Amino acid sequence: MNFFSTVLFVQLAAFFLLFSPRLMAADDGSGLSTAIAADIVGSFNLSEKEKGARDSFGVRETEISFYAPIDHIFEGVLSIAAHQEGGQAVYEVHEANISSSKLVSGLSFKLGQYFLGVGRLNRFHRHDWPFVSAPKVFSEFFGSEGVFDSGGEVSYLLPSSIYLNITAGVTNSWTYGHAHNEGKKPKVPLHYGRISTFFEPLGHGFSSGLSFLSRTSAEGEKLQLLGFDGTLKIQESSFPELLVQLEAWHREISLESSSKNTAAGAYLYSQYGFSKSLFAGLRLDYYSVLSLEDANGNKIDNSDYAIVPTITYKTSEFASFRLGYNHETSTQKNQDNLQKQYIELQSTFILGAHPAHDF
Amino acid sequence: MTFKFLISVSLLASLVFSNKGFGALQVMTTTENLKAVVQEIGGAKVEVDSFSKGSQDPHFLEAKPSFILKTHRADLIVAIGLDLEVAWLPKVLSGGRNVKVMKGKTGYLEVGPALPVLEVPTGTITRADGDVHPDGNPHVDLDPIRLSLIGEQISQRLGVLDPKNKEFFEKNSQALKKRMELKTEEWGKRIAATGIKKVVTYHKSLSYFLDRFGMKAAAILEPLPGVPPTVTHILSVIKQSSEAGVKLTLVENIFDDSAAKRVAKEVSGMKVVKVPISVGGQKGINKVDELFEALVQAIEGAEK
Repeated sequence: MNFFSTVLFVQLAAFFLLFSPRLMAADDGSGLSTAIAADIVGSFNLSEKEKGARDSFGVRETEISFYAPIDHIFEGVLSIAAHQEGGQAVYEVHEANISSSKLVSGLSFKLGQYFLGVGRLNRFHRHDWPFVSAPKVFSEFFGSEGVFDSGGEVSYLLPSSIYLNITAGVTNSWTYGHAHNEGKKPKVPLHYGRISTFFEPLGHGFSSGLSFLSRTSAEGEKLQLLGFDGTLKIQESSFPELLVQLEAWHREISLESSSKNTAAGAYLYSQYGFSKSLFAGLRLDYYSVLSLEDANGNKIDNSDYAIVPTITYKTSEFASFRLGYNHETSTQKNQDNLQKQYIELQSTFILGAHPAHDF
Repeated sequence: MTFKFLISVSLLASLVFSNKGFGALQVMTTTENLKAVVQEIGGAKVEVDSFSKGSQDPHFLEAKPSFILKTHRADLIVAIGLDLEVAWLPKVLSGGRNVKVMKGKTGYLEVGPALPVLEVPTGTITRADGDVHPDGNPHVDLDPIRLSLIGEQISQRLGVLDPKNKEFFEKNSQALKKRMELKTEEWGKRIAATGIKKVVTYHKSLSYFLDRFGMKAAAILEPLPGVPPTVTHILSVIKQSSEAGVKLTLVENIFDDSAAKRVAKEVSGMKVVKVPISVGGQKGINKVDELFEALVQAIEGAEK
């Protein structure tokens, strides 16, 4: 079964499940929950040079998810997304996995297709992010919506008095990042890990993690990513009054025959909650190609940075409206700075169930 | 290399910091009220902690990794159920990866479903009706008599998990029940003496308390469960309160009281009192008796 027939099969399966009244019933004893998420985004350019170039408004992505206990041991998730690509709706399986946390104390695992359990943003669906679009470092290293793949992932909560969790996985990785082709068998499959911990300074929650990811492609190109993520939440009432989220990543791509290509970047996002409904956020992005050199082998200083203030209004956890202003600057030694300014509008809504989130 | 380093550091840290307690049963509750009951029944035979603080709304907690760690180490999880904790507890239970406290196991107890439940919705309910709980109002722990029945369920479950102390738990449960019955009678007389039969509340948290003492909520400040007050709805609450002659608004202190104050400005003689709805929800409230006493005093105070 090739990629496209797999997609067709899953679409038919999803259609059957969605429109089968027996399975959709909440009280049929199966515990099946269905969630449909829509992510509508508009982007409007403010820069004189590029005015009109990026202007758009439409459905960025819709996602249908089904999840339920399979039996007394296993749980299953199936999540299918459709998004616009080159003017056409493209369907893809985001998640189709079987998992369990009931077999060995402290251990959980999943097999199938899933978003890799590394970093922060990659572990959340895009419509659940606190801002509209991915920071530069994330879109460069993981694509605009994150990396998902087929494989196996194990997570173990260490038996200690402080929270220490290890996640490790290996995936098929014939492709890496966003792709709609079969790819090629890699020399070394994608393997990754994350160790995370959690503290409660002054009674508030601070979670942090260290992630590692590596793959060697069929052509011998070795990818290595190392990242840190940290999240602070202050929540005294029914909504987070303060959220501070940081991710920093370093990437190295090397070919046996050539020099290394290295890049690094980070983003810092802070969000203040005025109420259960209204949130103001500010994101600062930084990204640089560390290995950029001129013809003489001299290093060329370069950096991309952005300032992204956002305002979010939520009527409930199932509906949100967001306005973001992006001010991006690209600098490179001996060249004029390039600037882009654009506004993004986003509306997301969820029909049906919405599973609880990680911290 | 990096991967091996991460694993080595983790294993080393786990050996250094591992110190799981031995002896007493480790109990986690979802609310401070449940914690107080477990503490009273279990005494020194249990070590108990609550996921939520008394100042927090248990509907909306974050599934913090610290909750996951406590769940992993627990012998018993006590929850209200009736969907009160549905937004976060499933994540905590699956994250805890502790088979003995998962739903359906002896180490997991939901006390709400076994109690007589109020405000069970009829007909079709959708999200357009707000945050409605399909199995009824989950704030069962705000009735002293139901709380003593919760005590019986907890005592029974502790007895299963620690059979040699079964009698000790039963004795404490009976003592709680007797005390709650006596005090409920006394609280009932004091409330009756005030002549107050109707109040306004912010959320339907106090339904069971009001029902126990022959009172009613003439209006609720939330237009729909979980939805903050709107201008239109505040006007409607003013009208309803005036027509029903309501003189007291009890605002649960986990909510904002500005809407209640706006109502009070327009309704002659209306008093607004912020009240705790949980042990630990106000300074000096460390036991369930003190919580109910504070609620009774709030009503008595309004009459003066």
